Amino acid sequence: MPVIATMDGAEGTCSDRTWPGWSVTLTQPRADASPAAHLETLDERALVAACLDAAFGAFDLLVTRHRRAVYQVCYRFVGNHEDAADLTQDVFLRAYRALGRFKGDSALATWLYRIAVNAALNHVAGRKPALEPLDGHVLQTNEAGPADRLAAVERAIRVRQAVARLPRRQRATLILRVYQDLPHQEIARILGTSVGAAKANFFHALNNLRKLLGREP
Amino acid sequence: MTHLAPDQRLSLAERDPADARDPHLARCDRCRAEVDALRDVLRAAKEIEVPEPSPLFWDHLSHRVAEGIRREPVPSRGWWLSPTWSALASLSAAIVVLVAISLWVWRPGAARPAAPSAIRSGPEFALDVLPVAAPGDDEAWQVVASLTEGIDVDTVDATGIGPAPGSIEEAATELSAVERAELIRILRVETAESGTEG
Repeated sequence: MPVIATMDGAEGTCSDRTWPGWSVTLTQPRADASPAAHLETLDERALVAACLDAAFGAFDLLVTRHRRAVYQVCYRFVGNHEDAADLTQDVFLRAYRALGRFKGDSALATWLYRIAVNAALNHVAGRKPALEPLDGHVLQTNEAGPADRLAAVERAIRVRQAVARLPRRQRATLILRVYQDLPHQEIARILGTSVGAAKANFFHALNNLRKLLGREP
Repeated sequence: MTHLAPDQRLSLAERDPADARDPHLARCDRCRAEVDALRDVLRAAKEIEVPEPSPLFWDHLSHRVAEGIRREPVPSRGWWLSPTWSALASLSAAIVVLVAISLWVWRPGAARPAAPSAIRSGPEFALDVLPVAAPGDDEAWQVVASLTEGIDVDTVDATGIGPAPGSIEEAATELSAVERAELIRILRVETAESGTEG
């Protein structure tokens, strides 16, 4: 017996009626019945599997979950919004193409960071960073007065320029450790190095930053 | 005085000063200054935030990515996730085990089963003592069987590694116990001779 499922109208009632030769079920769509709604409940591996099965909205959801973190890493490398936005888009396209190679032996975020760091390092290789001018709202500072605030902005400009001058792997390590707050083990995995080397990179990055800022003791 | 190693200084600098009490730091001005300097640089670096983009930016970014992937083919699964490759991997493992067991059993100097007397070329062979283990009793067979139990004949044929019709491998599978024993004896003789020549 053929079955037709269709929606009832605005009133939201449900009813089951039997017509001769037909079974017609009238249902109201559930509030969470959007194509991507069920995806929200998936963990990372299942979401990746859904992407590989071309499930509608699966990769959009993956982008939504990770876009801010990826954008921030990209911005830390390139120093301006335009390049960071382009780079973030590029990272997700690379991730999409490589999704079949994601084995799930690390967190998806770690895998995306690895792609982002590689893309960013390639992007900045041999280029002079086009750092956006800083204004007060990008500083986490408690300076209240205008003079103090101005001094804080000037200090931040110098720090940002110094970070941009660090060797590439030291810079990547510093960004992942200080700004993304990743543990050394995770950083080692992203950069494809040992934990000891990641710690040494970070130590050298801080010491070089000190020298560049003229803060030798 | 032995000073703190770089990773110790780094570890102390990353901790909150209140939690980073170290007996060495209390009495070593140099290490204390180093840790303070690292902490100072860390604090300066942490002050810089990424400017928050416009609220519209995130949807715009997602839209750009969606447009980009629309032109891309659906990514393929890793080969290790493919059922065919999984079957092949199991089959390959089984073959490796089988070869390893054969090499171990027939290694030089290993105790040899006696060959059958009925087809002997020398008095040392005796068919009745040839150990032809039933699959259920043989540990090696059990290992192979467990590795290959999920693989059907069609899969083996599809991979092209099963015995081809008319091949030596196929003929070997059809030998009787006596014929197998004779084949083994001939191979042993040939192997021994070529070993002597070599």
